[in-house]
Amino acid sequence: MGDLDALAGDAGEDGDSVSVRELLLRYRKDPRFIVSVPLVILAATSLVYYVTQQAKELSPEALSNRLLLFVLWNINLLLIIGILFVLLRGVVKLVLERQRGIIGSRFRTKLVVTYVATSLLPVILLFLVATDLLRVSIDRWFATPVWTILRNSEAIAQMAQDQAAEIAGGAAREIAASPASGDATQVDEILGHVRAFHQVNLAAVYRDGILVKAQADPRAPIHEVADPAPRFFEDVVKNGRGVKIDVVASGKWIRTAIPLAGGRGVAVAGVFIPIATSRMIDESIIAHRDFQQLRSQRQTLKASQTMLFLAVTLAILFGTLWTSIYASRRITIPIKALAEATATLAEGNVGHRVAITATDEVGRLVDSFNDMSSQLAAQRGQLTDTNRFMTTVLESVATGIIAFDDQLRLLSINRAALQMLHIDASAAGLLSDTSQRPEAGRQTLNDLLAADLEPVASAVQELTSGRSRAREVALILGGELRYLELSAARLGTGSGWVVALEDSTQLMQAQKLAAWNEAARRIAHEIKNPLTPIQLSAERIARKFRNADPDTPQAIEQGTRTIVEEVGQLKRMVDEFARFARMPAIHLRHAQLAEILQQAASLYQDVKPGVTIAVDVASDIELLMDPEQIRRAVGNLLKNAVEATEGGEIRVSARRAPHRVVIEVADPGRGVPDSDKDKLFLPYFSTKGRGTGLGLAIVHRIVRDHDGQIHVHDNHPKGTRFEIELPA
Amino acid sequence: MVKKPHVRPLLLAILFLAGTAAVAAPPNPALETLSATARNGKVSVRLTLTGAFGNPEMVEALQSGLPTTITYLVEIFRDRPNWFDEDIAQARVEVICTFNSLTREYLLNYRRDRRLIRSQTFTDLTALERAMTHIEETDFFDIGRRKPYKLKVRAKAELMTGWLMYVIPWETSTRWRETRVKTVTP
Repeated sequence: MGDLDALAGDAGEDGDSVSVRELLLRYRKDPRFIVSVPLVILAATSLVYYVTQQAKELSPEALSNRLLLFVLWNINLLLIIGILFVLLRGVVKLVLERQRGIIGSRFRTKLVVTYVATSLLPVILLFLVATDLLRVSIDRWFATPVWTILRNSEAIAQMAQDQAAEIAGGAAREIAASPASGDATQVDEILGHVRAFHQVNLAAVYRDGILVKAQADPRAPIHEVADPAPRFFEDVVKNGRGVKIDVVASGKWIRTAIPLAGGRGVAVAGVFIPIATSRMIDESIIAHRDFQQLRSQRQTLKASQTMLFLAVTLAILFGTLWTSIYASRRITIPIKALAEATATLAEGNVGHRVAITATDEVGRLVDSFNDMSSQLAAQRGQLTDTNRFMTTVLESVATGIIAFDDQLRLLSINRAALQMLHIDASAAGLLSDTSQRPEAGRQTLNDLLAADLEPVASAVQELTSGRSRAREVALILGGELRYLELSAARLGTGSGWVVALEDSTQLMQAQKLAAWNEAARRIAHEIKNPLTPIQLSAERIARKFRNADPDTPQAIEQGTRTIVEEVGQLKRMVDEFARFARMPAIHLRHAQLAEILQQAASLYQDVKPGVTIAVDVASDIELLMDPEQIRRAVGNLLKNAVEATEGGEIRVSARRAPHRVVIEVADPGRGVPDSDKDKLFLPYFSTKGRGTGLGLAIVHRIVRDHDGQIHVHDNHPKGTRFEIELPA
Repeated sequence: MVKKPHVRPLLLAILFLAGTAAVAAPPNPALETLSATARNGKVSVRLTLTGAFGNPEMVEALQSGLPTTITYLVEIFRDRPNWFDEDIAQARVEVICTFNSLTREYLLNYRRDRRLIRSQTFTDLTALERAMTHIEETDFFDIGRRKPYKLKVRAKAELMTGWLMYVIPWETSTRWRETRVKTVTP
């Protein structure tokens, strides 16, 4: 505090009005200040204890004087107030911190309680035992034989004085009893006679408090003692006797007074005890008196010692309490900072550092945390760069990308998707990366894909339900028919989907146009084929009928038969086209592949003499597929294989490969030229010179609907081998 | 009727012990008399303390030569039944006795409001007790023109300090006693 006052003084001299209170507030968290306060209190207590120890040499009165008791009492009071203040302040702060949920408050509470409990119990126990021992010791001190010896010694000394007083009393009584004592002419004789007979050192007669006559032993220092006070003579007259003891330089005078008969005065006789004897008497009396004073003060003595012990105990408690709160704060500050930093980190503020310097294990923890935070910040930076790159890529690709979670809450949608779906991003309140938006603010896919976009929403639900992996959707946007191809894939996190949208409107239109061209060409060609015999038959019938040939009826019958047959061919061809046009949507479900392949093979078994079909499929292959469509696709392949094979064995097999199942149909037929292999799956392409050329196109479409692939290879030693790969 | 042979002796024993304890216990100090008389605007007070020397600790302290003090606090006030009393004056009288074991004399200092009024020497303990417990102060308070019958005097005596659990100071004192001021015609 002296330093603080000095600092305050310096500040005041400099013109800066810094008060002691401000300095206290400034330094109250300074460890040196915090440690020095309990030390100062301990030093003060030690000083009090030292002074008290020194005071043992003082008189009992000084030891138990009111000032010392007052000081001790006030020190105790101050310490109690200090302890209560520190305790209450600490408790209130801890309670408030716990209510506010401040990190580390519970740990601090436990620390403080442990500190206080472990120090409080032994200190209080020590205080109780020590004070009780002290009180017992004080009681034993006064119960020792010393008290008996001193009391007897004092009684003997008093008896000696009583004896002297009695001798003097006998002499005074004789003077008082003598009738001549009132006669001025005879009093000298009486006094001399009594002094000599009773061997007293003084014989005198007083009247009205004034000395009338006296005779004294020349060896006794009568001049050292004054005449008794008038009140003494009044008491003598009143009580009939009086004793006066006077301590003088040479010894002690013991004078006894008896009133004269008839109230004529007072006779006084005195015995002088020389200094050598009187000193022994007085020493005995004084020793007894001091001991008796101490004895009568024993309660106060116990109180002063108890208060001294209490002061030391309270000082220890105060120091312990202060230290425990300070130490707990010192321990919990870095932990609290770490916990707060962890919470800050959890909120996404990576790179946050704990700005606390510690050299212990907590310090290492802080360093590790700071390193971790820095690494997280660096990784987050890299992630942000990667995200930015991906966002740029997504924004620049022509494919629409929509990402959403399992609750269909939108995670991300790119510009291409917005354009494809004719969604105004600003009007819909969308950002390009909606994952940056708060959770509550995310739109659901159903909200986004409403009204005209309802078919897209249905397609997405179908894709995410696993019923199909790709869908084509036709919808009218802005008054135009648009075709979108949708494919879905599970997000890498396993809790969401990403849907890719391809605007296939132009492709579809081109394909349609090409298909129509091809179809028109094929249809024209196919229609032309039967039309020629029909035309020829009709012309022949007309010619026969015009010429009235005799074989006209035969010609009519033959011609009409030909026309009917060709028309039937035309009808079958139209039906085939219709079937291709009505390709049903696939419906996926889990099914055994072996059973399907066996069923397909059984249809074409023994259809052609010399041609057999062998099926080699493991019985445990189960796939998510449309069994009817797969059976149809394999059936088409087997049909082609049987037609192409003159004799031999057609093999149908299936095997597992990584992430897929491969179905093979191999025949020993005439094979497919390499030049035709890339056109083999186009519609209306046929190497057989007859048929619609739609069989392999149907197979290709079924496989594609299953997200699979179909390849054609040469079979060894001869023939063709088709491979269908389906995802497993 | 069921005889209960142990009840009566037990009750008698309890009564005997209680009575013995009551007899053996030192009498509590109390202001036995307190009187106040007014004459010519001055109030004289007379009071008597009993039971002060019944405490052996006090006698022991007195005989040991330690200064032994009895403090009398005397106050005069205007009695207002339905309102707070009006304090007029208060006085503090201390009688301090110190025994000289060498001369066997008791020195009695009489102080009023911290000022020494008189000193007396006693050789007789009975006379000393009387001097310490009988206070008679003539013209103690000046009440001016106040009406004496509206005034009251109260007093209490503080004897010695004890200790509760050796830590808390505990003053031994009498209860307050009060009396109405009586007018004495000259």
